[in-house]
Amino acid sequence: MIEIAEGLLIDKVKTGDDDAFQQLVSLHREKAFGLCYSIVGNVEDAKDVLQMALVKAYKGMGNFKKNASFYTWLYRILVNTARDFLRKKAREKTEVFEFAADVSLSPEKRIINAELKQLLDQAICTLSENQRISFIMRHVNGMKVNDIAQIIHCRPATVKVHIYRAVKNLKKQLTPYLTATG
Amino acid sequence: MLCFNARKKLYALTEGDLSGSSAEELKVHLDSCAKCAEEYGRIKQVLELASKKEAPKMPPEFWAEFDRDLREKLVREKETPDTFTIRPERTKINLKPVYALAAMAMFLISVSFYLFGGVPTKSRLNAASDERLVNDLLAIEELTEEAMIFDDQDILLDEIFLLEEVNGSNGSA
Ligand SMILES: [Zn+2]
Repeated sequence: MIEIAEGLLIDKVKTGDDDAFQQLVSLHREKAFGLCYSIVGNVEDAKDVLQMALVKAYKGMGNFKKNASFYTWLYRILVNTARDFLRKKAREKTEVFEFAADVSLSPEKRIINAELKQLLDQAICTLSENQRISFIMRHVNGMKVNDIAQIIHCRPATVKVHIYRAVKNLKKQLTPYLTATG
Repeated sequence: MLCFNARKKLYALTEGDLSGSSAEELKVHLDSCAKCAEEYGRIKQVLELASKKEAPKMPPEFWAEFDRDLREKLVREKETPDTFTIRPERTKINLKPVYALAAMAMFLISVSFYLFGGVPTKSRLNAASDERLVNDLLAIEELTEEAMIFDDQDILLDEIFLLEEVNGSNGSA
């Protein structure tokens, strides 16, 4: 049902119907915002990245093939936009991640969950770009490996390697704070 | 099953990526090995923690403003001449650290020969499709970077096993 509605909206957008584009956006924006937020780490930047990506999608709509998945197409633009944004920010040497604020917690046994989440955020920030994006898409946003592979343009096996390494690095960093029994 | 072999399959177990017999073998090992069971617990904890990470739920006012801003941007875009087209970004191979890569490749080949009697490496080098070659190159390149970042000596051996596992016969012990 949603796919039919989406197909109709895409046809309308291609004829220059801006309202149809806004409707199409409203089908995806909350999940897309969630992914942006996970990658860039704060609301303002997530909003900017999502808007930049949507403008690109709007301009590139003519290139969208109808038999392709709009969701993976949009997310590919989104992820590339987020990557560019992060690289630009890194070059400007400003604080990229809001949640990367310095928290020097000693490894105590009963560290509370909120602190653990913050430590996870910091640890995620230390991952390589591919590891970070693959891990976030799979384990924060619950996306399928095959979809991630399409979005970041590689094979599913490569995505798995990125995530395997990400998990290994995260575990290594968080081990002092995790309970052994899980 | 050796702990070394068990450790590199723990994540695959959480994802349900192991074949039936491989998963069974690993579970038997976890029942009898406290260290690996602890590692498995930690991985599950990391994944559980990640799954609970939530983006803030934005109020309707946020989305109203979002729509307004977007509409303005689209109008501006329409007013400017359109020269822009979206090109999907291709997976790129950065051949910049070419010497490090060559050295690492030599190292991987020789270690792989030592560990597997040459067969897996040979088959990979001779019969590799372009796609597979790209994949291996990417992996080797990233490995080179990671080898510089991590002082953990075991990581190299670990990575070689992982490459074998992902590129070779999946699920075999
Ligand atoms: Zn063990």
